Amino acid sequence: MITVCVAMLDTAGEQEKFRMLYETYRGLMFYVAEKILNNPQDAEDAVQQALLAIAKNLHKVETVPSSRTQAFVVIITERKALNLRKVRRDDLPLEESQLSGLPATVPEELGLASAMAKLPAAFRQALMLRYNCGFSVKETAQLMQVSAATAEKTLWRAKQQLRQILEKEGIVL
Amino acid sequence: MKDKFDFSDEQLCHAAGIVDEAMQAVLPKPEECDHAFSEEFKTEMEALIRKTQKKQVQYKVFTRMAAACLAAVLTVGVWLSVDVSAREEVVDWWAGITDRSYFGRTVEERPEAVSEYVPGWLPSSTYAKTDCVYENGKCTITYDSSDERFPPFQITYAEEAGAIGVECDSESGTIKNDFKNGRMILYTPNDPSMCKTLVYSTQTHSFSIAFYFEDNYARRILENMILQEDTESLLPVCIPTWVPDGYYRYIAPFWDSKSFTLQYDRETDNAGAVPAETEYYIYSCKRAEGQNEKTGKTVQVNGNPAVLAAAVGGGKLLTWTVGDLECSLIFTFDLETAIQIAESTL
Repeated sequence: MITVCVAMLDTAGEQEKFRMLYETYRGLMFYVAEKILNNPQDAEDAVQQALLAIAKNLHKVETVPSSRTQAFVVIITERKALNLRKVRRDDLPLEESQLSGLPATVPEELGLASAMAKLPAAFRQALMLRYNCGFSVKETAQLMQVSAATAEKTLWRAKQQLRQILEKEGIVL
Repeated sequence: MKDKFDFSDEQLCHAAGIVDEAMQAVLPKPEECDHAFSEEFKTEMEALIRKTQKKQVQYKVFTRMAAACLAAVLTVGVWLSVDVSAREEVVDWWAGITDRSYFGRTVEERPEAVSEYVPGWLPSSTYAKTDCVYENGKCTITYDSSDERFPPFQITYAEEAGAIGVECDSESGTIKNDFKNGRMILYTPNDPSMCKTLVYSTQTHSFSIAFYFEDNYARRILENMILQEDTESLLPVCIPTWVPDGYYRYIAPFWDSKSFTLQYDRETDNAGAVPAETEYYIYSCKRAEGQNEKTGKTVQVNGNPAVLAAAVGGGKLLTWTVGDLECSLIFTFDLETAIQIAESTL
């Protein structure tokens, strides 16, 4: 599979980068997807979609073995898994943890980070791609497969919700 | 005055870094994960990549042609800018061409007053490939799939009930009233190479989708058509993206300067007759105006507190907030379903 997958990449350098990324993260990607979908077959589908999305945006990856790349790979896989979960909605109702994606507990005293961890997955993913992975709004939109306007709106709403959480919890930055 | 929660990019970057660390902490290290992917996975991946590869080749050919055209335009541009007589000849030639009706035709633009609608739900990996092409009061947008799981499809809408119909006859295909008490019409051509058409006519709007995939996807896309978000300054647009099976949107979105309302009814077998009165739900959202204490039982929506109470006039009322919007759902079914609808609100 890897041979075929790398064929879509333009240069030998990119092919090597993708090969390394695939070999480094495929297991983790499956773990993330399986945690959300709770079904190995669906998890493989999500990994497959995530790999395609990553291959199309490989130029955005600078160094493969890095925390930034790992965060990017995890977010894309999480997003694909959650999307797949929505499409295959004829299963049992989603549990809260599945709706909000991967669990991330941040101590309350860390204020903004704690609020960010409590955001719904779509909002958190947008903020993480933009502010943790350092992608522009346009790049974030491409990765989330939405228009730039929608990505901008999602980021705005995510910040609105952050404000709401902070206000509700009486946290002053 | 600066908002006390007006975050700087530095603050957001710092917070995102902490969240990332927290997320990584609950995940195993990449080298600790191993999974033997199935043969099906490999086969499907290969099929998808082959298609993508083909696209890449087409893209390369296109970009090379575009580069050649650009070079030609630049060359001609330089020549015309230095040679006055050549420029005059070209201007005359172009004027002659544009006098002809075909080239003289202007593209109709979407009037400012006409709202733009977008699907609130799309199948995974599909996206709008074109902007709205506005013609005879109808707007048409083409959608495509980034991984080719879904063939391209087109959505057309008009702000007029019954403005969009299906052009066909009984010999070329079949027509059936679909799910909607006569409001939704599905046309399936006899020739499978022709696309199917689903028309959804509300009391105020008409929507249609031309498609090749399963009917249920088309139905769900049309049910979730919403106003484009650039109208948000005028009204809150925040809709549930999940609709329980068997329910359909009874009328087009209704809004005034403060609120936005959608009403759903349960489909019945009595097509065209009065909708069942006891099986419905009404979703509404408006901008929250100050602290407004709600009384009732506290439940959770997306981890945030929501209030469940009896609705005036029957049914139950669930109230929750999304950002600066206050949303409510009047419903007649179980709380679990209502919460699922509420949690799908984006």
